[in-house]
Amino acid sequence: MVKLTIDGKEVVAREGQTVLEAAREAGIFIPALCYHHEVKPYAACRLCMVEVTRGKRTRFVTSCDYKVAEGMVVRTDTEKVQKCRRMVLELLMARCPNLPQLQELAQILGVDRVRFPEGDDDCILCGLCVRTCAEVVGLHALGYESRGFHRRVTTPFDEPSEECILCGACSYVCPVEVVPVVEEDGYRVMERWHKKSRLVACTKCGKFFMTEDELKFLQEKTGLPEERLKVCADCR
Amino acid sequence: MMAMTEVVVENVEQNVKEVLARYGNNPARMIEILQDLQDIYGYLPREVLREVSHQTEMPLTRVYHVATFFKAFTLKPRGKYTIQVCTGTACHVKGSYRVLERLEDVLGIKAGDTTDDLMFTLETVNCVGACALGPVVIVNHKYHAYMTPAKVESLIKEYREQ
Amino acid sequence: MKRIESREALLELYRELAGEREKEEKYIAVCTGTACLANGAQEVYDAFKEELAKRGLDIQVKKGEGSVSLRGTGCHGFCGRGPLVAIHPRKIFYQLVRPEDVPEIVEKTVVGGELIDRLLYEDPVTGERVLHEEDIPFYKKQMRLLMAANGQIDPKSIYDYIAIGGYQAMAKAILDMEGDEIIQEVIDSGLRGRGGAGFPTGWKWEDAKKHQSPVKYVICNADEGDPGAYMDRSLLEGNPHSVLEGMIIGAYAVGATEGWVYVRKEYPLALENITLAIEQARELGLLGENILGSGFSFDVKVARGGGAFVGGESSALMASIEGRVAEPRSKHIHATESGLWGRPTVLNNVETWANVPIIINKGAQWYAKIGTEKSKGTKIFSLVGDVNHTGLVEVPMGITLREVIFDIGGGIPGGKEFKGVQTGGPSGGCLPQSQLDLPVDFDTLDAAGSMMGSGGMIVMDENTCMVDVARYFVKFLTEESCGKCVPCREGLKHMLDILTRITDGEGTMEDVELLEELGYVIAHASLCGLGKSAPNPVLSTIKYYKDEYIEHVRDKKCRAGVCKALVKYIIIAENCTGCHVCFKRCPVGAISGEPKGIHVIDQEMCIKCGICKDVCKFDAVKVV
Repeated sequence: MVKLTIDGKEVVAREGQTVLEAAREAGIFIPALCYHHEVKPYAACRLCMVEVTRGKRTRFVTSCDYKVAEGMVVRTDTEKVQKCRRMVLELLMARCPNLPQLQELAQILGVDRVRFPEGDDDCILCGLCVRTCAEVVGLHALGYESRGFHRRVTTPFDEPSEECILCGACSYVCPVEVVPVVEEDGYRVMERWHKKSRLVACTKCGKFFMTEDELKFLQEKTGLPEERLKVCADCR
Repeated sequence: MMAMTEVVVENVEQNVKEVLARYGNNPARMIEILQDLQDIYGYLPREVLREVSHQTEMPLTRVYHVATFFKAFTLKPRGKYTIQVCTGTACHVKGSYRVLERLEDVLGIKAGDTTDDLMFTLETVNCVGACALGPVVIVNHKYHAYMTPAKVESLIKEYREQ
Repeated sequence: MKRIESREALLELYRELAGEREKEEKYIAVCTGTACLANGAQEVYDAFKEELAKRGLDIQVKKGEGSVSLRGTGCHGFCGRGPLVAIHPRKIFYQLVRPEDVPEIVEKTVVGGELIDRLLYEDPVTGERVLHEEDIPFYKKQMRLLMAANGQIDPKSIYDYIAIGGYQAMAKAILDMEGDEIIQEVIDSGLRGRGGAGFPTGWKWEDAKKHQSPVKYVICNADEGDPGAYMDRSLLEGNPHSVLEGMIIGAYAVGATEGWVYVRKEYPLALENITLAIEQARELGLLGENILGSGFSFDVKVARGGGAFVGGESSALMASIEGRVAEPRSKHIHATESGLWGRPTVLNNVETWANVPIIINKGAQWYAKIGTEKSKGTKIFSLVGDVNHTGLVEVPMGITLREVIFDIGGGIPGGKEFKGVQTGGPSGGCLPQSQLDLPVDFDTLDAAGSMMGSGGMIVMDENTCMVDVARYFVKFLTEESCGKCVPCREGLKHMLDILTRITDGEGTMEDVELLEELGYVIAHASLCGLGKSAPNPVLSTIKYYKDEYIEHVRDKKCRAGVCKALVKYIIIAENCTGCHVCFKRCPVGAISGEPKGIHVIDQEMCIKCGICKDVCKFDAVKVV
């Protein structure tokens, strides 16, 4: 057990936890857009930054990947933290002016104006889709292109990915919900990645429940025969 | 206006195999591998990137990111002559931006592009370390020192006539 | 090449080679660093080779009395005056040498012992011709601990390096000393990283040593990306073995088994020379298994950069060696604990490594006498821009900016006024006249709002617009940002927009305030050093040149005559001779006038390309 204080409140955390995890468990609010407990921290959005004092040294760090330590003093309410959080959100809102999740966060953080010219992007480049596909699903179907402000999340050459099985994990994990998945005419379609895959029906109840690509993937992974896999969760 | 020259991509599997062998088939040497392949084809065609991904068993997304991240690589065919304008600080202070603008005007393209007749590719390059001779323009590894906007037209003419 | 199996064998070889060098009656050193090569040094070298062969003087052919050695050496440093040739033993220094001069040089100087005045350096004040390198003002105040060897050896020959005592520090280290001893020596010397951050090298090694691991790495960061800085290039091209020797000593000290030299691809000659140096060292057994019979085995490989400034950031560099994009990661995990491939790694800059053999040879006490209390040793700077003597300068730390720019650099050419000096590249800042007496070291320039950085020192005269300079650096950084974190990727883009509007005459005072606010957030919240230091050029120019910003914003004026939207090109009637050249050369036909008559520029049509000003021989075109 590790004891630390966050904004004056004593918090007990587990060894190996990050400051963000400890704060969240203690009900203390720290915004973080590129964080998800299923994937490794990425420290890209910078919203979760806090001031941490250990002994004589105070550092300004991302809480999502900073491990807790005994006696650590964390502050989220300093001027530096507030100033940086607000500006980071303001920059994101300039990049993506039409995302309700950002506007909601703006209300909470007290960002009431955007002083930069607006772009028309909808992706905040948190990288959660890329990392989920890589670390959780293991397919690496999504990646980045280029660098700097030309950086974007895409499939290579913007072509439908051969690896993608349309499992929808990227859609699920996207914090701003810009990766819609629809099912129509017997296909599951992910417009954003220009890909569709035919749906497979459950041999018991007849409902569509996975794509052909997912089926193939599971076959390869488990070695189980098709008949075993073509049964939906409800019917098992 | 001349039509874009057709670029044929041949021998992909063999070339990738050979280049990989130079680096012990080690995908960690991705930058050198892609550089060597670009030296063969003049640019990095899609087929080559796909083949590299296939032979190294590295996800295509990783190879693609490396190929689009580093300035050394281009996914578009290059011109016969690559004109690089050094935009290092010392060259900038001596007016390299005016040389670049003049080149853009004369060639009719922006930095990063290639002329339609595939003769010239225009690029900016970060400091090449010949700061005392700025502004520096490099054409296919040949250094041209003390460039000025006034000398641009004759420089292009010189290469066209070669 | 015969393997050197023991220290005795190394010493014997040294005596043999040093003895041969002593017997060399005369030798000609032709600088073949990249800058001189770009200026025709290869042709000069070839001309010497031909001329010596013609006269039968070449030492390869004629041994003993009257024979002459010819060496193509690394960068001599006085790049603005290349091609450079030094004739030994008299140490006669010729500059701006052309191939056509060579037969005369061989006839008159090499054989006849006479001087050729026009090739000697001329002191701009006294008009006197200066004979020796060390008497030239450019060299006088320098302390060339690292760079002196550049003028003495052929970098493509390991024997040349051994002949001047090379690899003896390594022998001493791996045969006589323990790892902890070496580390203590480096700590006591006060050596701090030369790549820009200035972290105490000894502490870094100490930390790496204490992490147990069967595999550890040492890396040489030769991704020198600061535009205008080329010190590392010249060291690696001109004396690659000095860097290798340092790496072997460091590897032994921390327990590393493998090393990497990461060279940016824009340095082909440096790549060539370090690769050759490694091959030669391996052949002689100075790299590889059981070096000199010490039981210590170590080898080095070369990795190429792909063209990314951010690749010079330590964690990004390591990602790049691992075959990934050069994306930095959070720094709370130190590389000395978990770096390349998750192993303890010591990453140091080229110049840092090159200092190590000197410290081992001469001792920490000797080394610590040079420099200031907190910044020991010498530092190589690339002195470029609007200064009379451009090139590489090696000076003891603590020397003032004024001494470097005026005493060594010879001041501003063309009688123009000094406006500022940019130090530390895109991570540094611009310092004005009032700061010229600051000593150059790790901490003082920092406190003034700039930083010493890797050593780029760009001098700017009155025709430099400081707002444009700020914009230039921000533009550079927006193109080099990896794009991972929000403050750098998005923030720098907006900083660039604002600065562009200001230089276009569309800025407001609120814009300047917004720049400062953005600067604060980018500096504190960015993930890596690129972002964290990116606001420096902007914030330092706002601090020291606020008037210029105000002029651009309020008065729509650019006093330096640079910002196109705010200046005009005009022809001064009194100076115009009607030569008609500008009329012919104007690309848009904006100039009107008859031959022999006064010419006029049509402001509506003028695109401000600057050609007319370049071609006018009568100084009749002015920018206002």
